Amino acid sequence: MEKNNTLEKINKAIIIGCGRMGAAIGLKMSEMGKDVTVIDQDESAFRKLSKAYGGNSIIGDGTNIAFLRENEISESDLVVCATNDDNTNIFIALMVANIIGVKHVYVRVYDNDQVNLLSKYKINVICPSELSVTAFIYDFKREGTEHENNSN
Amino acid sequence: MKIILIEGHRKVYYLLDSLSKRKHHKLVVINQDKDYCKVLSRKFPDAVIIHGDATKNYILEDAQIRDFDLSIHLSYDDKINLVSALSLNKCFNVQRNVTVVNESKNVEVFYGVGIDTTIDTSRVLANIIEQHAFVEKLKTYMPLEDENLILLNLEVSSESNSIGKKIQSLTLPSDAIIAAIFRDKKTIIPNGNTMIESGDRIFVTTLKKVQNKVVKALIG
Repeated sequence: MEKNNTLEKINKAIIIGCGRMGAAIGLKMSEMGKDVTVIDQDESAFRKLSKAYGGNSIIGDGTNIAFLRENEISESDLVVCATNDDNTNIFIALMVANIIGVKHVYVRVYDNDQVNLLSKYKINVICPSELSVTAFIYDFKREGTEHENNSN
Repeated sequence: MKIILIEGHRKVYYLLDSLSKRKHHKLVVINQDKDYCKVLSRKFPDAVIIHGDATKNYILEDAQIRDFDLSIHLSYDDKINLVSALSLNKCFNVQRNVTVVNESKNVEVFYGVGIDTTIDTSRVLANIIEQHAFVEKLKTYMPLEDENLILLNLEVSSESNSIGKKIQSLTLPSDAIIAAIFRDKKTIIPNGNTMIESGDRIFVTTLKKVQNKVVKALIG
């Protein structure tokens, strides 16, 4: 319930990095009726956005604080950092959380060592390798119990 | 002092060169350029040179730099400087972090996360060029706090009007003070009765707003 409330409160979301993750989150937010902007340096990246996506797409450098301010980042309640480079994502996340003061900041990092570093800030970290391990263990355990059930 | 130096090419070379002359420093270098690491390890056999990415914790772990006194970050990429400085500060207990900032607008990002010793290279360089372009006979110039306070090193030429005058009789603005005079390889801490001589090198701490008056009074 708590999570739904948070999601309802979000009006404006900015997604930085239009890879598979950025494009998919952009689409979800747009389907939920949020004001979404996806930012990427490379125009061709926007091809990954679904036809159903109803938000904005802006070409630009997400590490450039002046550029983000021009695009009214201070008015957004959610920023997702989803470029393909950990250092870029961390840099942007720290910038929007600490300098601009965006309330909900999500950052994707491939290197799970960096999770520890970011835990000291009000930033939500998404680490694909950790999620995969969790999914694997969950599946593996379930499969195990299914086998036990079958043998009984 | 135990010092770790991250990235940088010529900058790290010159720093190592000057730091390694003082034997009591323990120096560790991490650099992503393998060939350059070879150059550094040949030239500085006493320093530990590690080829690797300093934004990766396992590299920092291997480097055994926990509890070092100081880290210096010299990458041309501000993202690398920020992440490596933060990792060392938060995860490896390296309390002092000095970093180059290549894009002036990123200075506030470093401040925002608590990395407060930044060197804004383009601004520093622009200021120095500006000073040298407009102030003649200026030997060196160093901005101190907030760039409002500066240290000037001026050379008194034979045509300067201040020659033969006592410091107390110079029309020096009150926001400036003569810190030292370098004369005949000796350093003099002057008082009001000290006389200015031709060839003196004068070190003045001054507020930036009155620096032109200082220059005029001393070497004009």
